[in-house]
Amino acid sequence: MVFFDQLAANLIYGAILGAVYGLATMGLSLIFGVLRIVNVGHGAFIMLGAFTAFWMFVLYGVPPLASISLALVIGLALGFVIFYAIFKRLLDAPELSTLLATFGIGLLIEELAKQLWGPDYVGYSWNIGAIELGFTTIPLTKLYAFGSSVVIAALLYIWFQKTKLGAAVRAVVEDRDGAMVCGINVNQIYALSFALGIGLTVASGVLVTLFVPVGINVYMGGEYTLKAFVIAVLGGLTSPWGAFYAGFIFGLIENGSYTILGLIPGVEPFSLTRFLAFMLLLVILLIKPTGLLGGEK
Amino acid sequence: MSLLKLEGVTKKFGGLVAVDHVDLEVDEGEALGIVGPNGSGKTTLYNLISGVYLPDEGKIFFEDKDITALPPHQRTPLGIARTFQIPRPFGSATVRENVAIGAMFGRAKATVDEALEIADNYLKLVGLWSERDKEARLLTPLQKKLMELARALAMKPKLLLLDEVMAGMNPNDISNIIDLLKKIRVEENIAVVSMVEHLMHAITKFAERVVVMHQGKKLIEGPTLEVLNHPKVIEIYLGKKVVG
Amino acid sequence: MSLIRRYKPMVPLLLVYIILFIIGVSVPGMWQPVAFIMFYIALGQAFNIFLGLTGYVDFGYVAFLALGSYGMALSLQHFGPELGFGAIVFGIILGVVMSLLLSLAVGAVALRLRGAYFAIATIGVNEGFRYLVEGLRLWGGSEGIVLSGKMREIFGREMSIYLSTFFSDVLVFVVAIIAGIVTLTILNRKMGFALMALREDEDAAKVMGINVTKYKIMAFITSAMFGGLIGAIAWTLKLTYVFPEDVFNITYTVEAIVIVMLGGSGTLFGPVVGGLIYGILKYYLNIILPGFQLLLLAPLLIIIIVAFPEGLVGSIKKRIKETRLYEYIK
Repeated sequence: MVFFDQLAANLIYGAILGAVYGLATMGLSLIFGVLRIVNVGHGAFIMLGAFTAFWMFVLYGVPPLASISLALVIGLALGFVIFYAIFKRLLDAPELSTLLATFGIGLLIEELAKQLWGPDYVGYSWNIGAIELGFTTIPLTKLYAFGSSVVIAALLYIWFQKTKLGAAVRAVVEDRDGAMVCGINVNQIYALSFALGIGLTVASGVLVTLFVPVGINVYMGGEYTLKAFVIAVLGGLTSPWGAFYAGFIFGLIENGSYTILGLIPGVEPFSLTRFLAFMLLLVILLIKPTGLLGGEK
Repeated sequence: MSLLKLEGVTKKFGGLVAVDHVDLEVDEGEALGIVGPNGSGKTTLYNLISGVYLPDEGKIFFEDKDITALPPHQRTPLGIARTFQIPRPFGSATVRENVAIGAMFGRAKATVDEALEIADNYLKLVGLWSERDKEARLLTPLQKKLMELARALAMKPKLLLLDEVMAGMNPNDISNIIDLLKKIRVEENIAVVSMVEHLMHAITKFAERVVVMHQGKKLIEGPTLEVLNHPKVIEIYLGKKVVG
Repeated sequence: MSLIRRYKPMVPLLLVYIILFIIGVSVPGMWQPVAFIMFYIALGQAFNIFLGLTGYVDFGYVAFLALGSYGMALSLQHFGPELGFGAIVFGIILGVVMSLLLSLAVGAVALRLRGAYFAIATIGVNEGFRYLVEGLRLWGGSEGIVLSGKMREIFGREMSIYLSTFFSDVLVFVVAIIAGIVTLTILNRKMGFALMALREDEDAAKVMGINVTKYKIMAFITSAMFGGLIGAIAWTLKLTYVFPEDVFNITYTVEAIVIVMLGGSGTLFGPVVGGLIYGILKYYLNIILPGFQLLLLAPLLIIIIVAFPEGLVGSIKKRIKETRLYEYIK
């Protein structure tokens, strides 16, 4: 019975973490869906969010949930700057160029971070109590992270469906030339979408720290990039909503995997889970590149 | 035996039926025109024949061989070549290299050296010999179209699908192209299918037979002048109210 | 075209290699930087066969070097005592075969995917394989394989030092030459044209009768095998150890990308120029500003992409089109 308790606990944990994973991936899907740019430097932005949470907490005592808005703003600003400085010139360039550009940007951010903050691991601890569930204890911080993710995703959905700008973005995704003819400034929409995508990503970095409070490091991004791609592909590379749901599923699978693999002697569950995540990525790309959930949209 | 035969070919995109149970036959050496307003399914038809799309229903036969499931690169060596409405040159390669590629991977399956020679011949034919070492992306739109044509011809096709090749040309150039196509048809026994939206005059001079497409279906086919003067055809172009 | 005319572009290549070699052996203390530079030239040549010719980015490329180095390491470890020098030959073969197998596995799967999807798939190859090795505690797991003792045992102290220095460095020269010849051969034949077409416009290429998947795979496995070759020689043989965190380090992929893009992707001479400049920069910067490589690499890469997508050789090619020099540049 202990096994099932642990499995159940892990699954709940997985679902909670999954929401954060989902949020973290929405930005990726948004950028690809609107601009067809694959942001290979995705993880670096998550790292920025993580550090934002860290410094705000350690220097000013600001609780992470409040740092989310700051992170969002930082991300938006950064996104606009990067778009106008670099991607605006690459709109008609071959795919290879934008791919390498995002790669270079991610790398640059990581290296700058290393120069500023050093290569060591840092962390903080924010304990505000927990909920007892009989077989397991769920810290409130994680619950809040879950809640925040869901709220942000919901707000975004409403924004897309109900506002003019949101509609404009959807129009550009459907038919760029058609949108242009309707008077939509496509370049501005691109810039907005890119900035929004980056903003979401940085904001999610804050929430990630609530799960790995002592695992903050300038190179932490790499792991999340791979996970984000698996989730994005799972959810249909172009759909932020698909990404969100897929995040849940991934969170569940990942934690389940740790538990089950942890029972097999001679293997190292964390590394092997990552390997399996990668295999999953390949399998999905082969069978249904438009994703298991939802398709184009 | 007809060169190309389509039986009940249908292609849907989501809820839209782009090509609707079309039957079509093209004979060796024929000059066929496919005509129809925007959105009638002409381009989709071409894509189905060249293999870019696979049909949802129906079959396609080339020289009595069932090619319905073949990928594009396996159809070309059989003798099917096409041009694109908006030319797609391999921009950073020279004009000569572009045309040579057609010779290398088409029905001719030439070696690199042979292909370059074949390219030279066709370049002279379409009048681009002087531009042969220029980077393809630097050509004028008209020159790009001619290069597309030369490239398609270098593939030594038995069936040549032309997509709006005359669009944007002045009457003089159109006349030259039609003469060129006539010459090629006769000399190399190529069936040429030319697809246009307008330019009825050109089609009249070029095609012996015409197929009219409308909303994915084959509306009518027959000898050129008869079909183009048919009231139904005029109606789909001008709209019911005008004919009234 | 006669054989001589076809291979004229090898001339500047060989010239550079010979000059470097001469500098290395005649000027005291220069062998190390020369060997360092040659490594990057070879890496560039190998990587160019795929990135340059197809326009696809394989973010997991270093995995091929890693497998090459494991191949050599395993050969020396298990067959060294019996085969002696033969273990080195076998190690090269094993390294290449292992890279080939991985490339077939990855290629068969990933190369059906288009541009961006392919890149995504390969992002994980590198890390994925590393996790596999560490997770299953394969080949020493995260502790890797250390060979220095073994080498001394097999070859004796003097010989093993010789093998790890001059011998392996010269082999890198040889690899660079072979890679150059192979690249030029591809460029001159149908495969080169097919690759160019699919790089420019994959859909149009398909309609032209080009089996794009076949050619992509050919370029991919060729590039991978050279990667394995380099890993076996320039890493294991030279360093005498293999640690997963080193050999699977994505930095080498980044460097390869920069070298190819800087020099001019898809050209024969590009990787030479790129490797030369990058190698020199890195070597001397390492002395002046250690630990700053990636910080300079990253913006460099971005600038190249935005401002000089054709690289140095690409831009030069355009300018000298009318001259006789053009026959020597490819």
